Amino acid sequence: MSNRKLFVSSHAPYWHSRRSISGRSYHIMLAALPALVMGFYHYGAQAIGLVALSMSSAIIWEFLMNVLMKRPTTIGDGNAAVIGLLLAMLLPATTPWWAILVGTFMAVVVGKQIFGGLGCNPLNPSLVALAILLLSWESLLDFDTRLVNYDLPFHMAYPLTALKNFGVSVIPNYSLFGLFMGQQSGGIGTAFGLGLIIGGLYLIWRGHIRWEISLSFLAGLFLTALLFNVSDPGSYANPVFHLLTGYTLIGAFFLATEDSSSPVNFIPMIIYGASAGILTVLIRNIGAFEDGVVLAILMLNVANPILDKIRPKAMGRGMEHA
Amino acid sequence: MGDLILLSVSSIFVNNILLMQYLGNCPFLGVSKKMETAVGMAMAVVFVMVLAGVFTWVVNTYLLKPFEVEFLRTVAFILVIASLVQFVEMFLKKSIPALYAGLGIFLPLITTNCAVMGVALILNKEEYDFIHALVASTAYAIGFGLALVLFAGVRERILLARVPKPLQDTAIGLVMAGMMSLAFFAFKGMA
Repeated sequence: MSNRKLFVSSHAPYWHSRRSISGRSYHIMLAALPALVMGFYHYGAQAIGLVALSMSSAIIWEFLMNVLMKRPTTIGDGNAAVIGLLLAMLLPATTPWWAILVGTFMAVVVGKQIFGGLGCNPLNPSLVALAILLLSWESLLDFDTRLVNYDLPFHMAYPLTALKNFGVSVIPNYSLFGLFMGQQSGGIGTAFGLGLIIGGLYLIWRGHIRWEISLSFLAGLFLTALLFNVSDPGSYANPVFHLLTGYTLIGAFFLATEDSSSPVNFIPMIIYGASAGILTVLIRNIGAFEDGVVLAILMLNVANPILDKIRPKAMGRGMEHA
Repeated sequence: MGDLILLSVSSIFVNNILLMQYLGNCPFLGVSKKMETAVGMAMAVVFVMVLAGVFTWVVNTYLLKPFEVEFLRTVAFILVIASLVQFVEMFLKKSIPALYAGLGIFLPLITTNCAVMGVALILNKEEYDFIHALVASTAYAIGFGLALVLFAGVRERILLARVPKPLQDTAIGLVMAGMMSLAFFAFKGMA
């Protein structure tokens, strides 16, 4: 046993750090802004309306559940708004209004409130809603047909659908720098890689998300894609392409790091992130779906309580002469 | 060798007996409230399912088929599985009484567990040879255990949460089982 100090505590009086749950929610919304503004720039007023509808309906569902369960009103903590915002960022700009209402209902009521509200949800609420939408109405998330009326100044085929259907021959249609700068179709807030990275770094700097999860997710995804690519460059895309397309970056910084469904210790966080990344590439390369991020993170959310059992031994336990 | 690995991946994850074929959901909801009973149940099911798979395969291949009495398949399988469960029960009662008490009613219920019967019928429907039948039944049993243990971990957390009264216990368990099934769609199409 080393003599390193494990816990340093000073005497009272203490000073409130002024950090709160609502502050955390506002920081997440702020971090999502760069990617979101790019989405507004591409898809116009319709995208703004969709995000507004999603956030407001999420707040209304939460309020109705508060009233129904006779519990204190919790819409002030901003968590419902964050859930609605993240769900809207994943959806194409032409999603019909009823799908938004169903999605936010599934996210806030089924995904969070019936488990007991903030901090009790075993899975990421936005991802639960998205998975239900994906499996119930597959055409809602078919970006090529949903965004067919938009004529933006870049190649509009959704990269991962094209990759799934036509193989690696489609990759030269996209410039990697263009993908990074948001020149790809997709959800409202998923295309602009640089903005998502800036937002993620901001959240890491402010201490709202853990860098271990984001980094290990990206590393796991990159290495697995690299292995596939090295083994057969003719049929599997290069890792940078996987890194910049689809939900990868929003998954790494905004979805996998959701607080109550991700682990708290160092080793579980690394395993959690890396496995989610590996599973994502497996789904994209050999699975049935175009983009694996949603289901991969959900799968690891399910495994999270088991992973969190890897924890440091309690001090003083098991010592003979304690 | 390659097709055996593919078969095990497919049986554990892609065609998971609990979450993709929806068989055996009563022990899934019944014993998943505590991790120890869940692990014990998973072990019992692994034991019974592998033995049942092998025995029913032998019965089907060397008894039912040569005499052309395949219409007796269901009855014969029920008989084999029921006697196996009795054997496991006596073994546990004698050697691990704590586990026997923990499992309670659910061990005799394996007799009528649709997952065990389902695996026996799947093995014979797919007309596997002996090695494939052994690997598939082991993999299905591991898939059952994996899903049960994961679910028990989640439910231990849900027990600590303030779930609204009408939804407590089995209701929230069913919701969670549905969501887990949703998550297991991740493996769709992999093998």
